[in-house]
Amino acid sequence: MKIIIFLVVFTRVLFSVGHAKLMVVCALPDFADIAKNIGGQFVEVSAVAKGNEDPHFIDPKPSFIARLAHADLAVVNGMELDQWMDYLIENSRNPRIQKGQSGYLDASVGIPILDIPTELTRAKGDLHPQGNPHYMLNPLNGVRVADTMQKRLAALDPQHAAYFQANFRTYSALLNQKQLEWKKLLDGLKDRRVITYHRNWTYFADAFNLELVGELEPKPGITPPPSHMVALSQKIAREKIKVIIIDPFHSSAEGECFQKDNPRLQVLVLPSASGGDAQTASYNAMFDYNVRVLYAALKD
Amino acid sequence: MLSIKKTLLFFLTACLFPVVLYAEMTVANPAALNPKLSVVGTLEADYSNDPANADNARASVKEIELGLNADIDPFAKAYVLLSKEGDEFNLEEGFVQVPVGPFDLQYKLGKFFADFGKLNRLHTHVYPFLTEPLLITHYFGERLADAGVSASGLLPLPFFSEWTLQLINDNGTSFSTGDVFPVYVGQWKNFFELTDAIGLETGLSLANGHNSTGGNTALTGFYAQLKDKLAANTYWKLHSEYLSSNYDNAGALVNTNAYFGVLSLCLNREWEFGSLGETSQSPASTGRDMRLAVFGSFSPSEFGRYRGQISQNTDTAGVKTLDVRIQYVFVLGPHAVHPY
Repeated sequence: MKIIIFLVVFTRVLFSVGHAKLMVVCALPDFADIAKNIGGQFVEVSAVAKGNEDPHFIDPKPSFIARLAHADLAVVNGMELDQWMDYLIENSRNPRIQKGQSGYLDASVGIPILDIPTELTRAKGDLHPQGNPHYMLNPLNGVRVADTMQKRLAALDPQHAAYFQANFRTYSALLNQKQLEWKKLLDGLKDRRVITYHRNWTYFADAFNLELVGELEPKPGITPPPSHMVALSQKIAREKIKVIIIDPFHSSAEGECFQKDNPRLQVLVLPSASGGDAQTASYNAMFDYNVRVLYAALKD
Repeated sequence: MLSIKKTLLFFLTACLFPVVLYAEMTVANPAALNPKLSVVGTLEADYSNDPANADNARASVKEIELGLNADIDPFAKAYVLLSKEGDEFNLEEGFVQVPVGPFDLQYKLGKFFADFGKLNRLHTHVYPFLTEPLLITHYFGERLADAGVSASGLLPLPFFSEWTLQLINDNGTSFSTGDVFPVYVGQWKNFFELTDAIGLETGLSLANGHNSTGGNTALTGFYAQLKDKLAANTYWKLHSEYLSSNYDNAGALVNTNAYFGVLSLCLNREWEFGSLGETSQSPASTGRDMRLAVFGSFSPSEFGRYRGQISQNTDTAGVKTLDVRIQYVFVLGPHAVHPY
């Protein structure tokens, strides 16, 4: 009993040391970049996943639990993409960031969701029952998340609410402006057809009027079997499709194997989240990079 | 013991039933408040050249596990895991968890797998290998698991450091509490992020309680797991676990131990291979069993996995036998979080 009392008191005393800044722990690097832009000098931000990692399969390392134990705000993607985050939050034993508390922010709330399955069965692959969870690939959804975030930061730190709001106005103006530029550039393309590895570019295609004409995965979460690859290769040749987009966490070799029969085909390794490398260090930079590379590949 | 299990099952069912009923009566999506339901099935075919093994060539439904969990209210969750193994149907785990309770601690009440080492906490279908570790079967029977209470918290250190204290009933191999005297279990678990890709997890465990001879059993366990993530879906993992037992056999103290080690290599989302070596005595016997094995698995999706294992077993008399197992493990229901 004495041991328990000692551990409890010791833990409480040391954990109660206050932070001058709000500590924000985000599931994905896109949220972290937005939180930095909105929170500025009054937040300390980190992300659990990295930009080059598959958000479906993040290792729930115990070190993340230790980080979340001190957090004032946890930002999750929701829609069952990052269930590992709920596991980490629960085990952080931090009452401020549990579901339903002001320190828990599900960024998907208020986002117009695409690809909501009409028939829910695993026979159709690893479907997300609430719809496609990769909504951050539309920059306008980034603006929506930034708005939600500034309101939540203001609620947690009312003293700096005006500062967060001003940062939001600057940041959203920048993203809206860039969105118009990116859209204008891609609107100039005649051929807008692309093939992706996984069905995670739906929001990007929706934002920039691209046409997704196939996926390497026959169904979400299912590794491409040879029969599907052969059919896809024939489709690429028949329809003269120029581009396959592969995420950095999938093997580009699976796209490159089509180039033997389709020499004009380009396999683009494009990040679906920011922070994977220096060129795509921010949310904004990721779109800049992706739009530029995609435009160059499709323009001829 | 049976009455405690039945009471617990009734209590958990009673907790969940109003939630289900309420959901059906009032909300737009009646299923939204239903407990999450999952089924994990293990189908097995095995062959053994051990003449003492009566079932040395057979196919079987090794285990069907039904899991339910839901929030009871904003403060507590309930987990129920029922399993049918062979002809036996039992409550594998059934507990109420308070994720964040008084003093920012996490509490559990009910029947759960005790936090003694890492192997004891994991369900068999979660292991990358197919056989139950000797360390578990020889010292705990199925698991160190029964009705009890648990409290755990984080230590304020710059790395992950978690303590757990548990009081449970247990009537397995090492302990026999007869519902009167609890087994005291304590664990100190740490995690060190050596690099972005490499993590080292360690745990020191202690368990103390009465055994069936009326004497006392004291167990000490230590485990370490080193994991190196080489690429997005590629990693290797080395897991090692040691257990030491002091078993008071009616006045005669028996000191025994067990060791388990496994190295696994996950090539991608589909393929995983590995090998294991283990050796174990028993609480009251110094005879030693050994096992060496290689295993592999292929997962065509997140919800189905084919796997196989070839093992060479050496019993206490030094007799060597070989067994081969092939399994198909399927999961119905929502995604589960992959354990680290």
